[in-house]
Amino acid sequence: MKPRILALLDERDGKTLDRATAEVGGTASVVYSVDKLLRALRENPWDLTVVSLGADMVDEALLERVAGLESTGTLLLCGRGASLQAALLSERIGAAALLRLPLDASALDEHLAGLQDEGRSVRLPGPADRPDEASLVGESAEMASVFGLIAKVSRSSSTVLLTGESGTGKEVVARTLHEQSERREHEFVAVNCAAIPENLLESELFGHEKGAFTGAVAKRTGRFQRAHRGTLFLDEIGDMSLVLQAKVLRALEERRVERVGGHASEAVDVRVVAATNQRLGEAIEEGRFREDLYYRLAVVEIELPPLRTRGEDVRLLAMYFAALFAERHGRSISAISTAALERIEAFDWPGNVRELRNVMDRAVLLTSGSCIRSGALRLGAAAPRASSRPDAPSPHGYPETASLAEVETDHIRRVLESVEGQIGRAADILGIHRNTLSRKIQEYGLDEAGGGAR
Amino acid sequence: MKRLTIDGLRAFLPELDELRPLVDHLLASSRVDETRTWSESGELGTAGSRLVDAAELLQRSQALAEREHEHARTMFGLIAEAIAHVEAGRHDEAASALLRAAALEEARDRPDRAEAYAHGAFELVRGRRAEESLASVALRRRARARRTLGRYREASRDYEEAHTIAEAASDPRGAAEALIGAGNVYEEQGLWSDAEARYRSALSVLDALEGPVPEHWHALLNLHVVLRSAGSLEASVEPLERASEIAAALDDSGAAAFLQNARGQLRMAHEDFPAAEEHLRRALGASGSPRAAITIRLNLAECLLAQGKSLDAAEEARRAEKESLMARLPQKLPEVYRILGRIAAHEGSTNAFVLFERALEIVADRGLPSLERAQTLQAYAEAERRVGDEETAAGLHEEADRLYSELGIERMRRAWSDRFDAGRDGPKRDIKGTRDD
Repeated sequence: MKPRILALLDERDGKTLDRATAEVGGTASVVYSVDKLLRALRENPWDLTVVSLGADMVDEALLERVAGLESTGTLLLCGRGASLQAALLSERIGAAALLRLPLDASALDEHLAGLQDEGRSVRLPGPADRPDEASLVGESAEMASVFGLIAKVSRSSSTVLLTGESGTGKEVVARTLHEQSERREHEFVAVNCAAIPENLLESELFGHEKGAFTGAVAKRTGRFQRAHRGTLFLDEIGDMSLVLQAKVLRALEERRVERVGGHASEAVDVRVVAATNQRLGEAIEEGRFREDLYYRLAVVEIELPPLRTRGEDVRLLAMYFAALFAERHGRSISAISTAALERIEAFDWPGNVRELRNVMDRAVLLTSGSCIRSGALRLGAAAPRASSRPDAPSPHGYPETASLAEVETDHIRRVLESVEGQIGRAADILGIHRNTLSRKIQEYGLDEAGGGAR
Repeated sequence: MKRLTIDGLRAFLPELDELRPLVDHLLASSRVDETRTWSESGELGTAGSRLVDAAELLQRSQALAEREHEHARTMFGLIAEAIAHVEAGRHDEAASALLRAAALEEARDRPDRAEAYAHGAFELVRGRRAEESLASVALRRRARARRTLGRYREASRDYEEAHTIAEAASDPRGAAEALIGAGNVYEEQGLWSDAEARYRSALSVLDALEGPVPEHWHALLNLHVVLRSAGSLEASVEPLERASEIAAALDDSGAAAFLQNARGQLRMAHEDFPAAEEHLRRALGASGSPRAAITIRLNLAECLLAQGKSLDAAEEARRAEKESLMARLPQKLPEVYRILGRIAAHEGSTNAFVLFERALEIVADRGLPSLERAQTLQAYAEAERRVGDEETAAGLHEEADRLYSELGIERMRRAWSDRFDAGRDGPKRDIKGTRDD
């Protein structure tokens, strides 16, 4: 597919654009008035639209209108000289870049290069074609067997153990089990056993009375009680302490719970669905998990496959999330390029569906036109909301995820070590004043490191 | 084998004051648990779930001990110096030595100790006509420590007295500094008209000087903040512009981060979030200290969250978390966990409470001011309401309300309480770009 470019530019810049477009095998249509620009946008879809801020009749209202049209594709603005106002406008309307006039062919190349291998546009599913939950998206054999098990066990009240890697969608499956069961009129309550510190988990599960311990500023209803007649989802149960495992086992056997600091027990009717990404068999052998609790939980076991083994599902899920986030963020995105889909399918997805979801959320925010292109995909760099983002080393000697303060601290430490803590020499190497270095050493706590700076 | 986390460490390590530098070091050198990267427990991770680097501590423990020894030697030296000066009748020099000790403790984030030394310094020169300026300095330092400790009534009393003494000693800059300090205390309490009056008085004092001094832009910037907080957005622009002009005339490069941060917050008040983001990113680039960078980064996270970019907001908050740990500023963590908690609640997580509980735990462990606790309870109540737990939300709301009343923070309390009762979202977190006195 040849990229099609529309531009509102003066004659000289139009020629520069023509040449650059020809080099990538595309076609450029240069217009010289706003009327012609709008007509061209009405008549055809474009891969890229370039608008000069200095052209007659170009104002903020027009640019907002152009940015909102599906036919615009990627929007590039260009203007003479640097202006904060133009930069802010460009950011606000979601333009891909603000280039300087006269146009420089090399600056254009970067944006045109991204267009040439995008392939065709694939339409995203509309609201009517989308299932309510991501867990129901999938046509692979692996997921067919998961769907079969969900259908079999959802109507019963037996406990279910969901296993699988992080991010495979265990909570969404647990929620689906609840929604398909006769308990759906009552609450689905989720607890993450690994996220909640040991000292809080017991009161979170069973509730506490006001003043039961320091910090119990209010009476709290436990998750067991809240899930009465509904479903309790115990996620990452492999991380629960043995003491609490015993208490959960007793609650499951006796169907009664007692608040922390309370004196009476209350009856609860709860269906438990538990999940783990650990091998519980090994945990039992190592004495970290109670065997009796395992058998109590694993009446039915459903293993969720990692995304990399789900074939075509990756594409379906990507399109599902793209449509979902376009709607959520109010973006008029209706398609994704085949090049973008190919990149998605070739990726390994260590963070599974959770990672794919984040990538598509970001891609929607980074897309200014109506079609998500491969350049909008931040694969491998899509930040989880976790503090536990791996700090993988980069060729530059520090991870791309490192903050400036981290890099600075590390570099100052290394320089100080190389000069055996002599501040004057270190300041010379770093090219900063001795006093500035002393302040940084104190701020970053480096004076306690490596024998101390002098 | 389960690896040792900061929580695991705290379960057996006694909570002794002398171990605090060691614990801070362990926090700074701790690592994230990479196995949790894509799990919900990773999203809700806090300092407590980070992994301890025991081998690194074994290497550094001697240097850590030496640093503490060095600090003790300096402090003992200053005390000995002060005693010798008192014996020789040189009370001014003795007070100066104690003020140096106060400054050292303040730099180590020990406002309780800084207050004690500043108090001693003030007692040495109190009522001595020749040392009135020094007495005013001592009172201002004591006031600043008391403000950090959340003892607002005592802090404002100290600043007012410091102003009277500086004025009597014909020390206009000292008088202006005291007025700015008093304004900051009132501003923090939400007593905006009192704060505005003090900043304007400071400007009257400073305008009588021959040329501009840094206190000029401090007072103007703070006046802008208080007008903006009170909702007078139009009126707040002029002092901000004047602050920028004076900082430029003084070639004060340290002002850029504060001024850009203020511009960012002004744009946020106008709900022009993309423009706000631009200013905040510039402020971040200009920030010279980790403390300022963390505050600006959290403002940026707010700004991103307001635009629906929750992934980016969480990423900035996580960077602020890392910077707080590395720069030994764990007192900034409650702010970090408040915003992460709000993001998690915004995403519908019923486990968002973990982050608020962590924030409350740090407030208690570090003896942080009640305002921090009140703000955390407020955000916590809003999050619980958002995820549908009305019972818990009401209890938390009641406790936050009680604390605001106790602190005399009436306006903020009332505004929030009305909104909470009406079932709407709470006000945005109030982060000031105010330059301290």
